[in-house]
Amino acid sequence: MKFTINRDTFIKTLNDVSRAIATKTTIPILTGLKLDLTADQLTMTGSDADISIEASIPVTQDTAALQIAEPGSIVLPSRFFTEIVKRLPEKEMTITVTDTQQAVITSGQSEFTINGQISDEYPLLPEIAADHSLQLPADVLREVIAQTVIAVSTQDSRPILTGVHIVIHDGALLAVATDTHRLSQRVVRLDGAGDADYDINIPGRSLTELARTIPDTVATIDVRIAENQVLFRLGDTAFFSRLLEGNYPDTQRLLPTEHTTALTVAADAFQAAIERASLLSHESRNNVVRLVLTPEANTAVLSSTSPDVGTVQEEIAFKTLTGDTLDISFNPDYMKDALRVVGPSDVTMAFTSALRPFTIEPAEATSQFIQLITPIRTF
Amino acid sequence: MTAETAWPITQLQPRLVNRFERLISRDQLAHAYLFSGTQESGTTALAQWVGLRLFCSNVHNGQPCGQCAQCKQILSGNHPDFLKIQPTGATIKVDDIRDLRQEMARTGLEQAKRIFEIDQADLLTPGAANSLLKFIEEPPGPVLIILVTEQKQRLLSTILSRVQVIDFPPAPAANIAAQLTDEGVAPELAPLFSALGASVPTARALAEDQALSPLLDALDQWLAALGRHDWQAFILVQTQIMPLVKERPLQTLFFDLTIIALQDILVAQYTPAAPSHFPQHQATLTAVASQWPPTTATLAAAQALAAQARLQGNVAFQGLFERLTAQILSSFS
Repeated sequence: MKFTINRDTFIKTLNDVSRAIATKTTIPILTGLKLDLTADQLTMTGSDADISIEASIPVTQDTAALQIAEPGSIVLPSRFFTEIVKRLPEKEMTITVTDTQQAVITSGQSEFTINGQISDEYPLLPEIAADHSLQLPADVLREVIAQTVIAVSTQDSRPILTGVHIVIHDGALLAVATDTHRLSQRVVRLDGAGDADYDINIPGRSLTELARTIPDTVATIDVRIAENQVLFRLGDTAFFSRLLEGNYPDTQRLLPTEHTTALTVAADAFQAAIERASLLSHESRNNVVRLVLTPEANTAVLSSTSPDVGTVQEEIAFKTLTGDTLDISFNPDYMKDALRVVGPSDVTMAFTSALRPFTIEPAEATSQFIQLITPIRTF
Repeated sequence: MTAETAWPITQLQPRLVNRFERLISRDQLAHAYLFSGTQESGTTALAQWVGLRLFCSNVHNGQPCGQCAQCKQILSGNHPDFLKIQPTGATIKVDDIRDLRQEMARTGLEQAKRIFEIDQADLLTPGAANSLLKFIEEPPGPVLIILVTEQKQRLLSTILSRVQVIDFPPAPAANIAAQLTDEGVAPELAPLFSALGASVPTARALAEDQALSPLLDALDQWLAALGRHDWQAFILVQTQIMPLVKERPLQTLFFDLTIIALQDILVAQYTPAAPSHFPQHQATLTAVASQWPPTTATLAAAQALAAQARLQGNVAFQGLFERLTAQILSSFS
């Protein structure tokens, strides 16, 4: 294997792939970077078993100035290789792999020889056929991920809850996550999904990493689902993630269908009020804020108490308040996360009683985004 | 090379290999097994063979090929769906198991089924073992869990009741002798190695450095003194034995050797013709067997086993060994 390439282009692709490379792993070969050279492109692969990123530089790409002398493949220790490539002197570099699985990296007057491993032992990523691929706009996917991963569980006692449950059915994509204290669900229409029917659980960490990997230049993402893995195609980059085993709990029956009290506020103003109240709640033992809604008097009062520090009380400015009087307590951090992902718009909160979960939805109810927070019993 | 000769395990444990081959070809494999037996009897080798057999893309006559990409990945320890958990310190802790549980909840990278092998499962801390229970009982996906241990009795009963226990017959001494000769170690040590459990790797490393015989000589001297009912034996612990066993693995090994020797003495009192584990020190053992009353031999073996359990509970070696010496010597009066 031998090729010459523009170093800046190579480093850019290398950085994309490096995101997936494991720093510590039980599988030694995964600390390496796989280089695979065919007659018309160079493919780099990095993986930590959970996620795998595969990026290609085609010979036709002008900025890469890729010259292929001899195809082949090798696995190189990624940490050293990355450091070396970043510090080479010239604009171009040449990599030659010898029969003894050593890579000779030359650029200008400097020459490195590093030991590699045979690429046969590197995990093979599945070839997922394109015939069942789904198209998603990049910004929609980013939004869906941001809105759902906040509710993913961080505890591994129920591993299935560390993922986002994704159901594709009847031309719509439903993404839902819950850690049993809160829930976040988003539905988007999928044009051209046809009769695609899937039910999978993607680890939350994979999705967070995916959202970071999506480049701004990519407008549409091609999603393909196989038995063990899901593949997101972002231009020349392929992002694979393993799935979570097991059945996700039925979350549809958790969503309340009716309410007795409803409050509509501007999300950013309410978020600021919550943040002020949480200054004190964070100092108390149970991190709780209290919201008292009195529609007859037309008041909504947010308060929090820390026995050591003091108290805070604030009258909330709201758009509408209807229904019965209610006195409810909840964790302000959950509310803060929920309001943050709604963005700068009005939100409607619908309550049934002080001990039942309440919903948070953007006021224009067309967006198909609903969140649920479980209140805290304080009496 | 034909497939039958390719895997040493097929010669070492032919019946177990056949059994697992039948289970796999009929798709009757359970999801959790405990391989109980010494390392020498092929526990980890069989676990590897099962992994190869399940993942090999070119199974021939019920034997994995060893040549395909899947086999190579397993043989080099690089298969993403065949994970091995080995103790990093004196125990396997809850943190080590946390990663394992996360892995168990994931789908495979290349294969639908995933294999998890936990070596020296007796070293699981109670917390770690308890956190595994739920996953062993009801794994979230298609997995095969193989626990490997040399000391089955040290596992929690709640673990034992959730796995199928496969007891490995000890490897025949002749096999080990052949292997030792191959490695350039004196074949006379074969009977001893087949009786030694967990300390075999330590003993083997010592034998290669010719460092095992001083240990055996010290043991010989100590036993000879005990045979003469001589309190000099108590002094020997400090002067002869302690300088040789400064490290923990050596102490464990020396205790194992002592227990085997005391058991040999006990056996020799009833069946003098029984083969000894110490061919080079046969004379001493026979002499001690004739000098001791049977009650002493029984007491010595029982006390040595009790002391070994204490050693695993981190009691200091010298104190334990001196106590054992005193107990044996006091039993004569």
